[in-house]
Amino acid sequence: MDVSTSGPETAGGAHWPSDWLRATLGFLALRALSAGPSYGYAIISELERSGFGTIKGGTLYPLLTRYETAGLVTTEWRAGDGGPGRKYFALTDRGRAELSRLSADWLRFTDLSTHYLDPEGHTKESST
Amino acid sequence: MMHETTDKKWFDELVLELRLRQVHGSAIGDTVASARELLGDTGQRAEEAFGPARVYAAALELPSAPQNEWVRRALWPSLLGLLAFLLFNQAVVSWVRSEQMLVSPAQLALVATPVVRNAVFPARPSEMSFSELGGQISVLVTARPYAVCEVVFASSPDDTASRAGHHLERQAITLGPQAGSF
Repeated sequence: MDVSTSGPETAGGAHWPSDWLRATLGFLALRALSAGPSYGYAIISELERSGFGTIKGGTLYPLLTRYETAGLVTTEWRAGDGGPGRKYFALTDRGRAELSRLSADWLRFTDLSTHYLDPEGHTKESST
Repeated sequence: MMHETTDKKWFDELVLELRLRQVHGSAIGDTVASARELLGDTGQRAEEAFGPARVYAAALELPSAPQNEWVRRALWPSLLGLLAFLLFNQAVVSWVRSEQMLVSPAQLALVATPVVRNAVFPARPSEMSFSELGGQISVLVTARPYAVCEVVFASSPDDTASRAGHHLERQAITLGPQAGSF
Protein backbone atom coordinates (compact mmCIF):
# COMPACT_ATOMS: atom_id res chain seq x y z
CA MET A 1 0.00 0.00 0.00
CA ASP A 2 2.78 2.38 1.01
CA VAL A 3 4.82 1.46 -2.03
CA SER A 4 2.10 2.29 -4.51
CA THR A 5 1.31 5.72 -3.06
CA SER A 6 4.91 6.84 -2.58
CA GLY A 7 5.40 7.14 -6.35
CA PRO A 8 4.56 10.28 -8.27
CA GLU A 9 0.83 10.58 -8.66
CA THR A 10 0.26 13.31 -11.18
CA ALA A 11 -0.38 11.78 -14.55
CA GLY A 12 1.91 13.14 -17.24
CA GLY A 13 4.39 14.52 -14.72
CA ALA A 14 5.38 11.02 -13.63
CA HIS A 15 9.07 10.32 -13.80
CA TRP A 16 9.90 6.70 -13.15
CA PRO A 17 13.46 5.40 -13.39
CA SER A 18 14.12 4.80 -17.09
CA ASP A 19 15.31 1.26 -16.33
CA TRP A 20 11.89 0.36 -14.98
CA LEU A 21 10.14 1.63 -18.07
CA ARG A 22 12.57 -0.13 -20.35
CA ALA A 23 11.77 -3.40 -18.62
CA THR A 24 8.00 -3.00 -18.56
CA LEU A 25 7.12 -0.93 -21.62
CA GLY A 26 6.84 -4.05 -23.77
CA PHE A 27 3.88 -5.57 -22.01
CA LEU A 28 2.44 -2.17 -21.11
CA ALA A 29 2.22 -1.41 -24.82
CA LEU A 30 0.68 -4.82 -25.48
CA ARG A 31 -1.85 -4.09 -22.72
CA ALA A 32 -2.68 -0.75 -24.35
CA LEU A 33 -3.58 -2.69 -27.50
CA SER A 34 -5.63 -5.36 -25.72
CA ALA A 35 -8.79 -3.25 -25.94
CA GLY A 36 -8.51 -3.09 -29.72
CA PRO A 37 -6.30 -1.74 -32.53
CA SER A 38 -4.69 1.60 -31.78
CA TYR A 39 -2.11 4.01 -33.22
CA GLY A 40 1.08 5.65 -31.97
CA TYR A 41 -0.24 8.80 -30.35
CA ALA A 42 -3.26 7.03 -28.80
CA ILE A 43 -0.97 4.45 -27.18
CA ILE A 44 1.33 7.17 -25.82
CA SER A 45 -1.66 9.13 -24.47
CA GLU A 46 -3.14 6.03 -22.87
CA LEU A 47 0.13 5.23 -21.06
CA GLU A 48 0.47 8.86 -20.02
CA ARG A 49 -3.08 8.89 -18.64
CA SER A 50 -2.31 5.73 -16.66
CA GLY A 51 0.59 7.53 -14.96
CA PHE A 52 3.64 6.08 -16.71
CA GLY A 53 4.85 9.42 -17.99
CA THR A 54 5.31 10.49 -21.60
CA ILE A 55 6.78 7.74 -23.74
CA LYS A 56 8.73 9.03 -26.73
CA GLY A 57 8.02 7.94 -30.28
CA GLY A 58 11.66 6.98 -30.54
CA THR A 59 11.05 4.38 -27.84
CA LEU A 60 7.59 3.15 -28.78
CA TYR A 61 7.93 2.64 -32.53
CA PRO A 62 11.10 0.50 -32.45
CA LEU A 63 9.42 -1.66 -29.81
CA LEU A 64 6.27 -2.14 -31.89
CA THR A 65 8.33 -2.75 -35.04
CA ARG A 66 10.19 -5.52 -33.23
CA TYR A 67 6.88 -6.97 -32.05
CA GLU A 68 5.59 -6.89 -35.60
CA THR A 69 8.64 -8.85 -36.75
CA ALA A 70 8.06 -11.32 -33.91
CA GLY A 71 4.41 -11.71 -34.94
CA LEU A 72 2.93 -10.27 -31.75
CA VAL A 73 1.21 -7.38 -33.51
CA THR A 74 0.00 -6.66 -37.03
CA THR A 75 -0.17 -3.24 -38.64
CA GLU A 76 -2.66 -1.65 -40.96
CA TRP A 77 -2.87 1.81 -42.47
CA ARG A 78 -6.29 3.36 -42.12
CA ALA A 79 -7.38 6.59 -43.76
CA GLY A 80 -7.85 9.44 -41.29
CA ASP A 81 -10.78 11.86 -41.30
CA GLY A 82 -9.57 14.29 -43.93
CA GLY A 83 -6.01 14.22 -42.63
CA PRO A 84 -3.28 11.72 -43.43
CA GLY A 85 -3.69 8.02 -42.65
CA ARG A 86 -2.80 6.40 -39.37
CA LYS A 87 -0.87 3.23 -38.77
CA TYR A 88 -2.94 0.99 -36.51
CA PHE A 89 -1.36 -1.75 -34.46
CA ALA A 90 -3.43 -4.78 -33.46
CA LEU A 91 -2.63 -7.72 -31.18
CA THR A 92 -2.34 -11.16 -32.75
CA ASP A 93 -3.24 -14.34 -30.88
CA ARG A 94 0.43 -14.79 -30.15
CA GLY A 95 0.62 -11.24 -28.84
CA ARG A 96 -2.33 -11.91 -26.57
CA ALA A 97 -0.70 -15.10 -25.25
CA GLU A 98 2.56 -13.23 -24.69
CA LEU A 99 0.73 -10.46 -22.83
CA SER A 100 -0.97 -12.87 -20.41
CA ARG A 101 2.29 -14.76 -19.87
CA LEU A 102 4.29 -11.59 -19.16
CA SER A 103 1.51 -10.14 -16.97
CA ALA A 104 1.44 -13.28 -14.83
CA ASP A 105 5.24 -13.26 -14.54
CA TRP A 106 5.25 -9.57 -13.65
CA LEU A 107 2.58 -10.08 -11.00
CA ARG A 108 4.63 -12.85 -9.39
CA PHE A 109 7.74 -10.66 -9.52
CA THR A 110 6.07 -7.63 -7.96
CA ASP A 111 4.46 -9.80 -5.28
CA LEU A 112 7.87 -11.15 -4.46
CA SER A 113 9.48 -7.70 -4.40
CA THR A 114 6.66 -6.17 -2.33
CA HIS A 115 6.87 -9.00 0.11
CA TYR A 116 10.65 -8.69 0.34
CA LEU A 117 10.56 -4.91 0.71
CA ASP A 118 7.91 -5.00 3.44
CA PRO A 119 9.86 -3.92 6.59
CA GLU A 120 7.87 -6.16 8.91
CA GLY A 121 8.27 -9.29 6.83
CA HIS A 122 11.96 -8.67 6.35
CA THR A 123 12.85 -8.13 10.03
CA LYS A 124 10.82 -11.16 11.00
CA GLU A 125 12.63 -13.28 8.43
CA SER A 126 16.10 -12.06 9.34
CA SER A 127 15.49 -12.48 13.08
CA THR A 128 14.54 -16.14 12.71
CA MET B 1 9.58 27.75 -41.03
CA MET B 2 12.74 26.81 -39.11
CA HIS B 3 10.73 23.94 -37.73
CA GLU B 4 10.10 22.62 -41.23
CA THR B 5 13.68 22.78 -42.44
CA THR B 6 15.18 21.04 -39.40
CA ASP B 7 12.55 18.30 -39.69
CA LYS B 8 13.28 17.97 -43.38
CA LYS B 9 16.94 17.52 -42.58
CA TRP B 10 16.06 14.91 -39.97
CA PHE B 11 13.88 12.96 -42.40
CA ASP B 12 16.57 13.17 -45.10
CA GLU B 13 19.05 11.72 -42.65
CA LEU B 14 16.61 9.01 -41.63
CA VAL B 15 15.93 7.93 -45.21
CA LEU B 16 19.62 8.01 -46.07
CA GLU B 17 20.49 5.89 -43.06
CA LEU B 18 17.77 3.34 -43.84
CA ARG B 19 18.93 3.22 -47.46
CA LEU B 20 22.47 2.54 -46.29
CA ARG B 21 21.10 -0.29 -44.19
CA GLN B 22 19.49 -1.64 -47.39
CA VAL B 23 16.03 -1.56 -45.89
CA HIS B 24 13.29 -2.29 -48.41
CA GLY B 25 11.72 0.80 -49.99
CA SER B 26 8.21 0.10 -48.72
CA ALA B 27 9.51 -0.27 -45.15
CA ILE B 28 11.28 3.10 -45.46
CA GLY B 29 8.08 4.72 -46.68
CA ASP B 30 6.16 3.15 -43.82
CA THR B 31 8.71 4.43 -41.27
CA VAL B 32 8.63 7.96 -42.65
CA ALA B 33 4.82 8.04 -42.80
CA SER B 34 4.35 6.76 -39.25
CA ALA B 35 6.92 9.24 -37.93
CA ARG B 36 5.11 12.10 -39.69
CA GLU B 37 1.81 10.85 -38.30
CA LEU B 38 3.04 11.04 -34.71
CA LEU B 39 4.67 14.46 -35.20
CA GLY B 40 1.39 15.70 -36.62
CA ASP B 41 -0.43 14.41 -33.53
CA THR B 42 1.97 15.69 -30.88
CA GLY B 43 3.26 18.84 -32.59
CA GLN B 44 6.78 17.89 -31.53
CA ARG B 45 9.90 18.34 -33.59
CA ALA B 46 11.31 15.16 -35.11
CA GLU B 47 14.53 15.20 -33.11
CA GLU B 48 12.58 15.80 -29.90
CA ALA B 49 10.22 12.85 -30.42
CA PHE B 50 12.55 10.33 -32.01
CA GLY B 51 16.08 11.39 -31.05
CA PRO B 52 18.91 11.50 -33.60
CA ALA B 53 17.86 10.08 -36.99
CA ARG B 54 20.74 7.62 -37.18
CA VAL B 55 20.01 6.22 -33.71
CA TYR B 56 16.32 5.88 -34.53
CA ALA B 57 17.08 4.12 -37.84
CA ALA B 58 19.30 1.67 -36.00
CA ALA B 59 16.77 1.11 -33.19
CA LEU B 60 14.03 0.06 -35.63
CA GLU B 61 16.06 -3.02 -36.61
CA LEU B 62 14.28 -3.29 -39.94
CA PRO B 63 15.32 -6.29 -42.01
CA SER B 64 17.61 -5.49 -44.93
CA ALA B 65 16.62 -6.85 -48.33
CA PRO B 66 19.08 -9.48 -49.50
CA GLN B 67 21.23 -8.16 -52.35
CA ASN B 68 21.20 -11.26 -54.52
CA GLU B 69 17.46 -11.83 -54.25
CA TRP B 70 16.99 -11.41 -58.02
CA VAL B 71 19.17 -14.45 -58.72
CA ARG B 72 16.81 -16.70 -56.82
CA ARG B 73 13.69 -15.06 -58.16
CA ALA B 74 14.50 -14.52 -61.82
CA LEU B 75 17.61 -16.29 -62.97
CA TRP B 76 17.04 -19.71 -61.48
CA PRO B 77 13.53 -20.38 -62.87
CA SER B 78 14.55 -19.27 -66.36
CA LEU B 79 17.62 -21.49 -66.31
CA LEU B 80 15.44 -24.36 -65.17
CA GLY B 81 13.02 -23.63 -68.02
CA LEU B 82 15.87 -23.55 -70.55
CA LEU B 83 17.20 -26.85 -69.28
CA ALA B 84 13.76 -28.46 -69.56
CA PHE B 85 13.37 -27.02 -73.07
CA LEU B 86 16.67 -28.48 -74.26
CA LEU B 87 15.92 -31.83 -72.72
CA PHE B 88 12.43 -31.92 -74.22
CA ASN B 89 13.70 -30.94 -77.65
CA GLN B 90 16.24 -33.70 -77.68
CA ALA B 91 13.71 -36.22 -76.46
CA VAL B 92 11.14 -35.26 -79.11
CA VAL B 93 13.64 -35.41 -81.97
CA SER B 94 14.78 -38.89 -81.05
CA TRP B 95 11.19 -39.99 -80.44
CA VAL B 96 10.04 -38.82 -83.87
CA ARG B 97 13.00 -40.47 -85.56
CA SER B 98 12.34 -43.59 -83.48
CA GLU B 99 15.89 -43.51 -82.23
CA GLN B 100 17.18 -44.06 -78.77
CA MET B 101 17.90 -40.86 -76.88
CA LEU B 102 21.60 -40.69 -76.20
CA VAL B 103 22.74 -38.76 -73.19
CA SER B 104 26.37 -37.89 -72.66
CA PRO B 105 27.78 -37.81 -69.12
CA ALA B 106 28.09 -34.03 -69.35
CA GLN B 107 24.39 -33.70 -70.27
CA LEU B 108 23.44 -36.00 -67.44
CA ALA B 109 25.38 -33.82 -65.02
CA LEU B 110 23.60 -30.74 -66.37
CA VAL B 111 20.18 -32.33 -65.98
CA ALA B 112 21.03 -33.52 -62.49
CA THR B 113 21.95 -29.99 -61.35
CA PRO B 114 18.44 -28.92 -60.23
CA VAL B 115 17.96 -32.20 -58.39
CA VAL B 116 21.27 -31.80 -56.58
CA ARG B 117 20.55 -28.15 -55.87
CA ASN B 118 17.20 -28.98 -54.29
CA ALA B 119 18.75 -31.75 -52.24
CA VAL B 120 21.56 -29.53 -50.94
CA PHE B 121 19.50 -26.35 -50.41
CA PRO B 122 15.97 -27.58 -49.73
CA ALA B 123 13.56 -24.70 -50.24
CA ARG B 124 10.98 -24.42 -47.49
CA PRO B 125 7.44 -24.06 -48.84
CA SER B 126 7.17 -20.52 -47.51
CA GLU B 127 10.42 -19.57 -49.22
CA MET B 128 9.45 -21.09 -52.54
CA SER B 129 8.44 -18.02 -54.47
CA PHE B 130 5.55 -17.97 -56.87
CA SER B 131 7.86 -17.05 -59.71
CA GLU B 132 9.87 -20.19 -59.08
CA LEU B 133 6.70 -22.24 -59.09
CA GLY B 134 5.60 -20.34 -62.17
CA GLY B 135 8.84 -21.22 -63.91
CA GLN B 136 8.24 -24.88 -63.29
CA ILE B 137 4.62 -24.71 -64.37
CA SER B 138 5.54 -22.85 -67.56
CA VAL B 139 7.83 -25.76 -68.41
CA LEU B 140 4.78 -28.01 -68.33
CA VAL B 141 2.75 -25.51 -70.35
CA THR B 142 5.42 -25.23 -73.07
CA ALA B 143 5.43 -28.99 -73.29
CA ARG B 144 1.78 -29.18 -74.39
CA PRO B 145 1.83 -27.46 -77.82
CA TYR B 146 4.76 -29.66 -78.79
CA ALA B 147 2.77 -32.71 -77.89
CA VAL B 148 -0.03 -31.46 -80.15
CA CYS B 149 2.20 -30.79 -83.15
CA GLU B 150 3.86 -34.16 -82.74
CA VAL B 151 0.50 -35.80 -83.30
CA VAL B 152 -0.22 -33.63 -86.36
CA PHE B 153 3.08 -34.34 -88.06
CA ALA B 154 3.13 -37.97 -87.16
CA SER B 155 -0.32 -38.50 -88.71
CA SER B 156 0.29 -36.51 -91.92
CA PRO B 157 0.87 -39.15 -94.62
CA ASP B 158 2.74 -36.94 -97.12
CA ASP B 159 5.78 -36.19 -95.07
CA THR B 160 8.62 -38.57 -94.72
CA ALA B 161 9.86 -39.23 -91.24
CA SER B 162 13.00 -37.13 -91.68
CA ARG B 163 11.04 -34.19 -93.07
CA ALA B 164 8.62 -34.38 -90.19
CA GLY B 165 11.52 -34.23 -87.80
CA HIS B 166 12.99 -31.21 -89.57
CA HIS B 167 9.63 -29.41 -89.55
CA LEU B 168 9.06 -30.20 -85.96
CA GLU B 169 12.35 -28.66 -84.94
CA ARG B 170 11.50 -25.43 -86.77
CA GLN B 171 7.96 -25.46 -85.42
CA ALA B 172 9.24 -25.98 -81.88
CA ILE B 173 11.52 -22.97 -82.09
CA THR B 174 8.78 -20.67 -83.39
CA LEU B 175 6.30 -21.96 -80.84
CA GLY B 176 8.65 -21.60 -77.91
CA PRO B 177 8.23 -17.92 -76.95
CA GLN B 178 4.49 -17.96 -77.59
CA ALA B 179 3.93 -20.90 -75.34
CA GLY B 180 6.07 -19.33 -72.68
CA SER B 181 3.69 -16.39 -72.44
CA PHE B 182 0.82 -18.59 -71.26
